[in-house]
Amino acid sequence: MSLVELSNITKDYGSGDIMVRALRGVDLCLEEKAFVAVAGPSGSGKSTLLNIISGLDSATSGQCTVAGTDLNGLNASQLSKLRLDKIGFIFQAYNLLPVLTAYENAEYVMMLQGVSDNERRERTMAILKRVGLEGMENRFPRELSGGQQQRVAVARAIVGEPAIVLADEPTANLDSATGAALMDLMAELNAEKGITFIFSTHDKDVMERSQEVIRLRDGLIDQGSASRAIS
Amino acid sequence: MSDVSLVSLMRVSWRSIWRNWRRTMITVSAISGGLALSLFFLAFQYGIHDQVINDAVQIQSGHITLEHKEYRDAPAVDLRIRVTDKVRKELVAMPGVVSAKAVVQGQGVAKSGSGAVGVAVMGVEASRENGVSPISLNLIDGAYLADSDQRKIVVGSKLAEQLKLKVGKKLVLSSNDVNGELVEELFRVKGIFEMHSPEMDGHLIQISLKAAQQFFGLRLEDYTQLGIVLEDRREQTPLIERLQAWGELRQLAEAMVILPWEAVLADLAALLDVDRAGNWFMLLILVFLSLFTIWNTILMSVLERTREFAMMLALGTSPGLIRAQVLMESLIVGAVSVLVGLGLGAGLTWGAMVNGIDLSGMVEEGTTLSGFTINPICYPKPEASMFWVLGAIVLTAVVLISFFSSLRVNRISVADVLR
Repeated sequence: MSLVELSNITKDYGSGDIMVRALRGVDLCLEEKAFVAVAGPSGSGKSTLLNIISGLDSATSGQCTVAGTDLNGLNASQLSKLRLDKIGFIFQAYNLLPVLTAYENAEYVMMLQGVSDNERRERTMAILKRVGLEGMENRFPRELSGGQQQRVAVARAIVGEPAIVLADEPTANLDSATGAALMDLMAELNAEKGITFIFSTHDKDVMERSQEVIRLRDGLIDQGSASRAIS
Repeated sequence: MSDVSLVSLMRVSWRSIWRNWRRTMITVSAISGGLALSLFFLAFQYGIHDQVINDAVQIQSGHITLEHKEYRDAPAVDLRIRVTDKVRKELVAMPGVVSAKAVVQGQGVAKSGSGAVGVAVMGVEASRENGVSPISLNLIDGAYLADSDQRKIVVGSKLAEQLKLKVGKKLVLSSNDVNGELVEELFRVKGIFEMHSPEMDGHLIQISLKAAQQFFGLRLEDYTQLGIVLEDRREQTPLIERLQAWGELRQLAEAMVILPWEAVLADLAALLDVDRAGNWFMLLILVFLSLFTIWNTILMSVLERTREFAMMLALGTSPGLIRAQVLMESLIVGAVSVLVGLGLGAGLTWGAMVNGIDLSGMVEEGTTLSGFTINPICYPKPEASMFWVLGAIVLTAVVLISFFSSLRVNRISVADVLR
């Protein structure tokens, strides 16, 4: 079974004369362990596509199924639970909680999941070590560089053992060396843990490192942009 | 909510409070300062009221008055009660009772060579009043009465002025006795008091109880009132209930009623009630205005974290947990503010209780409340209820404000905010 399945997804913003159609009937099927980039010019619908997959936004029409669950039938609380258990997020601006340390930010999702104290500690320390932040557990985000903050964000995204990680322009605020190191890390995690990564990006390096690139143009997937994209 | 998330919630809340410490300090200062001042002013007002009530019950007939049931409607000496010495002794022995003072009150006319003035004649037990009653403490000339004084009288300064009286001068007092017969007696002025109250200074005279009983034709154990003075006026209602059930007192006179001071000094009680209600109303307006400011700060702290809350929602945090975080922050700030405010208020009040506040520069000498003089040196009188009522009002209001501010979380469109 596909991990993500979109069928004839449309998304409209506004109404009447000022209505904007961000997605115009997108069909997409992604299998487990995918490492995919969604590319396209600004306004092409990349972020909208990721928002619909994550349940942060609802499609105007069409069907979206994630990990076997049809998102159309879920209420806000069920969508929240689905995100908590199945989806990890990495944001362009890191979006760490400024009042929590690196350790506390990383364990945050597990706390919401109700993971026991001991297990949480073990998994948090392990993941921080894995992303190269050993010894920086007690630092607050303001005490970390951009690259280090994004590593904490990666740790937070995967520590809850999600099926999918959605990363919105994850390298946009990083220099190229730090961005490349981050991509290496995510590729390794994809290989090690089998987590599906979906990036929205403008970055050519990210596209080159991805297994496949889905190109969006004017709310539609560019034909032939990726072998497993169907439209 | 699990224990783990509660601990986490408190940790995030505590750190969020200190993220913008200036705003937190301003909020704490606003709440605690407002609360401390409210508490102080309330205690201050209660202190003034307490002083006026104490003076009034000392001058008049105690916190609890025993009198003929028709006396209030038509005050006359024939509407008297009889209370034996044995009963009086038992009354004084009751817990919380300071004294049981017998009073004879009637109406009369005081005359001298310079004119005649209608007066309230008050026969008092001089030995009980001396050094306690405000009149005995406010003599400007001469001395106070003694129990044995039969032809001595103390008069107010205005009356003395009007009738051109001095200590040692004579005046004639005329009235009707219990049988309705016209009686006249010659008295010599022993003392002149000044209460700065036109009513008292111009129309009140005091003579000894025995002289009054003789003047009005009453027997030794006949009085118009028996006033019970209490250590603490809050004991008034329980004691009235006890007295009403006390068989010995009921046997004495079927026509006797037991009244609280509020019924005897109804005008004063009504005025104090209005004053108290007005003060509470003003305090509530003050609290409301300061809470409106606090509402702005809490709302701002929610609005400026919209992106952070959106991110938390995206990660799978329930809106309820975020609302709980906002509530927890306000609860901590509110509780700390209330504690600081109550502490500050208690300190301010205590300082004023020890030293008193001299209002003679602001309050004109002789300012009265329903005819009873306000002492320009005021002492606040805090009550435990002021602390918990004001504290509870402020804390509840802060939590309510916070709750309504936290509802903003439900309106966050995560996708729009994070776009």
